[in-house]
Amino acid sequence: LAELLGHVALGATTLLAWLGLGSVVLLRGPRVGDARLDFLNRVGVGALTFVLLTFAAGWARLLYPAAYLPLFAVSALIGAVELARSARGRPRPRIDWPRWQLALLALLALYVLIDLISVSAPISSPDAVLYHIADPNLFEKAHRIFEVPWNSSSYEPFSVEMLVLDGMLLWNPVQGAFAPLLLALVALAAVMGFTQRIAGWSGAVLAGAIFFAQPFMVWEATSTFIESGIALAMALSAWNLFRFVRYSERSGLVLAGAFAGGAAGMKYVGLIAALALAAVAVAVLAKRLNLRLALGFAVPAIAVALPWYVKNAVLTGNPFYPHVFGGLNASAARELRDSMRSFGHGHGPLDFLLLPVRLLADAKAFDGGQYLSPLFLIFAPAALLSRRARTAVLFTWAGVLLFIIAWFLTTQQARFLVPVMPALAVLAALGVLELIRQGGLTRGLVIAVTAGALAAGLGASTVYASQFVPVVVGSESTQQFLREKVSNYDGVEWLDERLGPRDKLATDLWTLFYLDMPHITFGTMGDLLPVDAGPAATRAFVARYGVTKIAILDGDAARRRQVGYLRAHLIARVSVRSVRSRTRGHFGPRHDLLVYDVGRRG
Amino acid sequence: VNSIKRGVDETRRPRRTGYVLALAWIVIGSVLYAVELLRLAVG
Repeated sequence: LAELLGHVALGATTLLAWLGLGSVVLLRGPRVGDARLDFLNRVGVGALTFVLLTFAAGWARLLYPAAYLPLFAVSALIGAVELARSARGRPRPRIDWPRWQLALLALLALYVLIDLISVSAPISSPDAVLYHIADPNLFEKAHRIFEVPWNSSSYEPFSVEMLVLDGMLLWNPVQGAFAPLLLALVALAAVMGFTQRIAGWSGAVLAGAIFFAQPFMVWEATSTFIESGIALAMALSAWNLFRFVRYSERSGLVLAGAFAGGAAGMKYVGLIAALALAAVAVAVLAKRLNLRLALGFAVPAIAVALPWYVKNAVLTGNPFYPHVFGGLNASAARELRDSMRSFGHGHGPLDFLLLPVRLLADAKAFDGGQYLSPLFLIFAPAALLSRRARTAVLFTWAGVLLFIIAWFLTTQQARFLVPVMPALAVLAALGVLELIRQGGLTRGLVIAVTAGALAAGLGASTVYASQFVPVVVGSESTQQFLREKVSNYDGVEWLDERLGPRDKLATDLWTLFYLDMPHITFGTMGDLLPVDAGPAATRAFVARYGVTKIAILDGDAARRRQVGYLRAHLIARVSVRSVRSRTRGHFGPRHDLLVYDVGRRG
Repeated sequence: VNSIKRGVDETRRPRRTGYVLALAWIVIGSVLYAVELLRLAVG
């Protein structure tokens, strides 16, 4: 529990550091007239500045706590002063809110607690141990950023991973895992802050609950995924754009561009979201649009996102590697394409029409989609009934649909819908308010459906978080927790006990974060050694990367065949099992991890 | 002019239709989500 409190305290200090650094950067930079948005802009710009500084420090081989901590401490101090200054002139909030609003606020507070418990457990999310945490961990240990050729996902823009890396420099990987949660909390503040401006506090708490009080967001924000960062960037970008459209504040346009660039610097899906927002901006501005305004948005956007695309261009010759313009070997490209298209129910026109139905009733195929709140889909269309804001609602819906079409055509993973959740939450809140105004049966039905969905979501979220409680409060050991939650962890323990820094392991395991020795994989998609590679390519792979040991699962026929091309001898069979569901405790059948010695290094 | 002569306010019709559609969608959406919840509960 002391550790949990330590993580929470450092998480709060991190928010102050983002605010402090952002305040310095924006001291003479663009500021908007809305004090609340200006405050959030400074937090967001601070986070993006830390990203770019960490990225630069990584390539300059300066990833040391001694370099990071002074900047962090000074920034946090400035942030504390800024926070005090912002709070001083503000009237005390009234507490005569209706009971339902207080209940929704209490629900949000409960979700923050659920998230804090879930994120404080040892890292166990499969994607995190493969790369979201594993790669920053490698960078932190090497004190520098380097190419990770065995993981094609590491070529995605990695802004949130830089903030994860900051958390590691601050304390440890769990502190790093706090970064996406902090981004989600700031996104929540942005969603509520904006909705309060256009629909009052009733709209704000509704939008906040729809966005944040759902099991899907608990999973998303506490598993070291990065989409909460894109959600924040898109929310701030859209709010700043709103300031420009409504009040002609040029600062709003520049900041909208900067945050759109921030989204594009977090993952390729963020680039798609930023382009959808830019398309909406063009449509909204229409006659007002000129070259100067276009550059006012595009220049900051490109400046913030560019480092990631330049990095890829330098390392691979392709700024969008590995998704566009190729670069992967044929079998890896095929596997990547198949894996991206494996989510969802199909890609035809009928599948698109059935999307709302499937997202509500049969969403498991969208990878965790069954944990999405139904309130987005059920109520966001009702925002179109609002006469007062119909044009704005139509433009927002157009942007959301544009993004969803791209999502539908590329990879239908529910996580990649998070970038449009802030907009959908605002729309859904407006829809709820519009319907409730009708009174009578409509009002009763809307309240019942909303309360029912939130109650069901809270139940699922509690079940999810409860698996982490024993290890967080210390009644379960970390090792025991990892054996139950991380695939093939028994094999990892065996390798960690017997192999050392002089070994170089090649493996098809994806639990890379917990491997203590130098290691490499054959590539997430066989990027480095295709599954159909012959003897010469296999020997070249081993020689090139100085492989001394190989650990592969006995069911991996292609790799076993390739091991046969080497002068390798089997030194151990370790019984392992995969984890199919952490929450339900479902495991795959037991397999053997085959460990081979392939001779001395070099 | 014809609408006024007939005493019908046609401007209100699409709005009412919109609310009816919204209500219908809420009911359909809730039933669909109930199916998903049932799947979740059964595991």
